[in-house]
Amino acid sequence: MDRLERLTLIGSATLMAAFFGALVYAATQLRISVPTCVTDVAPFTQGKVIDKGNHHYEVHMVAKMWAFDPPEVRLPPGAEVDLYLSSLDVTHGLYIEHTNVNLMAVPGSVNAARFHLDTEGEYSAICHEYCGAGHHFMMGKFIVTSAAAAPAAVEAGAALGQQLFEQKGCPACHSIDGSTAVGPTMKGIFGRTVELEDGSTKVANEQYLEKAIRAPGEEVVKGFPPAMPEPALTGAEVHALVEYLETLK
Amino acid sequence: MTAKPAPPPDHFTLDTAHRAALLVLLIVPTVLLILGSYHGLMQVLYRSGLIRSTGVLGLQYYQGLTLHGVINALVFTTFFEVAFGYAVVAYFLRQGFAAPVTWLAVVLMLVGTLMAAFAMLSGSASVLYTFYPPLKASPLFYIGAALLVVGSWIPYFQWIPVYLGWRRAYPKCKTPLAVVGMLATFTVWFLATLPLAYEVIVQLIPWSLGWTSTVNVVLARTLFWFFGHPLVYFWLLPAYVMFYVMLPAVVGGKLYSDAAGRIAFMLFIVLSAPVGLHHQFADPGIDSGYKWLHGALTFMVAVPSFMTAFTVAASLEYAARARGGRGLFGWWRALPYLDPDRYLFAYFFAGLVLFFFGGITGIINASVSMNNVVHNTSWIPAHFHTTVGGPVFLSFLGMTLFLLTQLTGKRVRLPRLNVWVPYLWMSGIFVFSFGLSVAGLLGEPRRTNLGLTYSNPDSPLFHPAWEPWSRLGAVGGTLMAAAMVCFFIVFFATLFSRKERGPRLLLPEAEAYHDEDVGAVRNFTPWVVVAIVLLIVAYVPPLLEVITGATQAVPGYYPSSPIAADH
Repeated sequence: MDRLERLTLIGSATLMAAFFGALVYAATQLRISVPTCVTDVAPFTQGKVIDKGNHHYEVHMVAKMWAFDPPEVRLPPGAEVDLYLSSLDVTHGLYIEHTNVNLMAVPGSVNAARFHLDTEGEYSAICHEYCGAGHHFMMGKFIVTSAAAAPAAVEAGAALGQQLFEQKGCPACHSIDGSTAVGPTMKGIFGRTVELEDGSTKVANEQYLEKAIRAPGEEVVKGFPPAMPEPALTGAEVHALVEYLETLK
Repeated sequence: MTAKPAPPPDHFTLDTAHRAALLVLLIVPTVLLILGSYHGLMQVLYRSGLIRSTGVLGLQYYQGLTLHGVINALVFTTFFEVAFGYAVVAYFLRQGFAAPVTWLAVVLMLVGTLMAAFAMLSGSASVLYTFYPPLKASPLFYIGAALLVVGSWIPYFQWIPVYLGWRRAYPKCKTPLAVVGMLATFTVWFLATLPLAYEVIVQLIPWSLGWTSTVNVVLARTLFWFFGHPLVYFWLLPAYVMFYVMLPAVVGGKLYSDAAGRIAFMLFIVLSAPVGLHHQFADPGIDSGYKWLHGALTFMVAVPSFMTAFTVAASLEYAARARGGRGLFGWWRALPYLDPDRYLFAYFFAGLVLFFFGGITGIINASVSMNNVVHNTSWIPAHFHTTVGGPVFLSFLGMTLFLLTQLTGKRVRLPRLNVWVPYLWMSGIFVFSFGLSVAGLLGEPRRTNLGLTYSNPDSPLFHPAWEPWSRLGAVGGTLMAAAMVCFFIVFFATLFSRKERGPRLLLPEAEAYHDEDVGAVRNFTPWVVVAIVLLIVAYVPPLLEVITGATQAVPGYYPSSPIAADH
């Protein structure tokens, strides 16, 4: 073999070995690695944040078409977080910006990462795997704040409705600007006459909208697929959503 | 007395049936590429927020993205490689094949492609070219994909006996390097498509037909990437064949080392497949130890590419000096960058420049924990547009045009426009990939209709930091689209021009400067055996873990609805 060729071979192999050495150093000394197989947590369907005390939190995050549950996680600065991630339906991703948390959410399996967020602020949690027609709406939030309790919570009315509309992933199917997506637009929905699958018509008043949110499979608007899941909402929340929809002229 | 093959006569050509078959394999995907490229341009327009819509002209964003990936990365490449493989094996071994068998392959690939195209265009297969379950597509999509793959196996089994016959006839001769390269390509392809066939035929087709209700998603993902990374080398190796065998001949030089090419091809047979888990660093359900093993093996597969880079550069230097180039670096000026008669050089060279960046970003992606920074961000498409969209795509385009002129006896029309196409494309990729790389490092996701939300100031999801880089990506994408328009003009002007001579097949073939005969790379068998052993070591433990472990099978969902498909 030619001398220069041999040099290239040895040189490139050495270079790759050096790179690999750096990675092993990062994994063993700096604890930067990739997720491993989680066997002690079964796939879950409910999102929750558990305060384990001593600045330690456990977050169970559920990815679903097309929102995260919980949609918002509030943490104090420097909290140590054990994040477990699963999916209710298809494959999703979760990337928390400005961090090394970059995970796939695969149904039937649980993923995990340990991290801490030291600087106060809002961190987008972006779904980065294509998960269907509403994928581009799927984003959650990690909010790091030293403010003691929950923020000035929006308790009722159209403002709460708007918050729910965004957090529950509604915009993935229902636009508010008149454009048609997976479902009908919510622009000017209040008082509109809608034609149902069976050919009958209804006026979208308060009763109709509440029923449409609670039992979406019963009266499906003509021309749209029966694609809407039944949401987990309290009566007050449904009411707030309807109040918000009334404002969308 | 050692029998030596006669040099190919200048009038060597394929029989009519094979000329027709190869023209179908070259022209059909090029026509489809119009649709695929259009959706490439649409991607950057949506993503930069210049289009804020779920779809345009009746085709949805994710439907278009599926068409872009399937046509450009799967259909165009596979069709081209089968055609190129027939040309290479026939020309360098001076052999013909049984036409009905060749046509069976062509028909299977065509029927499969049409089925999948119908499914995608009718909107019932908007699952992207990775088709990860439990997103569910029409059975036509999966059956079409299976037919395309099975069709592409047939040529391999047609070439093997021809190759063995040649070896028996000329026992003392080295197999022509181009043939070694194409057999290596299809060996990689065959080994890689077996797990894919299992995923598609055993898991996905019965499930999409409703015969089974659930699917093990982690298993499907692991089988897909068992296929998905060797797929990258299936794309790359024919380009390497062109770089080793044809590029030096096109510039009037010699291949620096024949043995380097043979060693590289054998190393790719061994190392291209047991590395797939580096696409699943972020996946659950797989022990991180296996991920590290695949990460280490991926670093090893970089070595034959370094070797290739050295050999190609050394061959170019040899040619440049033969053309009067002088100086330590000044010889670069002596290469025929814009010679319309040597347009293949332009296509090869522009691709090689891009591949410099593709190789480096590839090493970054394979760097286990560093993957956390870039996984599924727009950094990834920025990377692979400098690999499969760089040396692979450009060499395939140039060779498509070259084979078209050879098989039809036509002359390249608009040759001056043609020789600029690869440079325009290269500039476009540079701008595009720079924009997407930076956006990716800032967290911008890939395969996402950003225009409606993240690139939309009216949306609560608006991310202003990404916007300038998505816009830059759109500038690059527009340049790439302009290059494609120029290519299509040249291609169709040539195709519909008058015939100037009889058909022939005369492929450029470089002599070797160092022409050693290394015994270890004479035969495929030991390398294939090592490849299989390594595959068993690298894949049996994680597959067992996935099958017997904590993962559960789940129902399917159509991309349009969050309610399970069986309801």
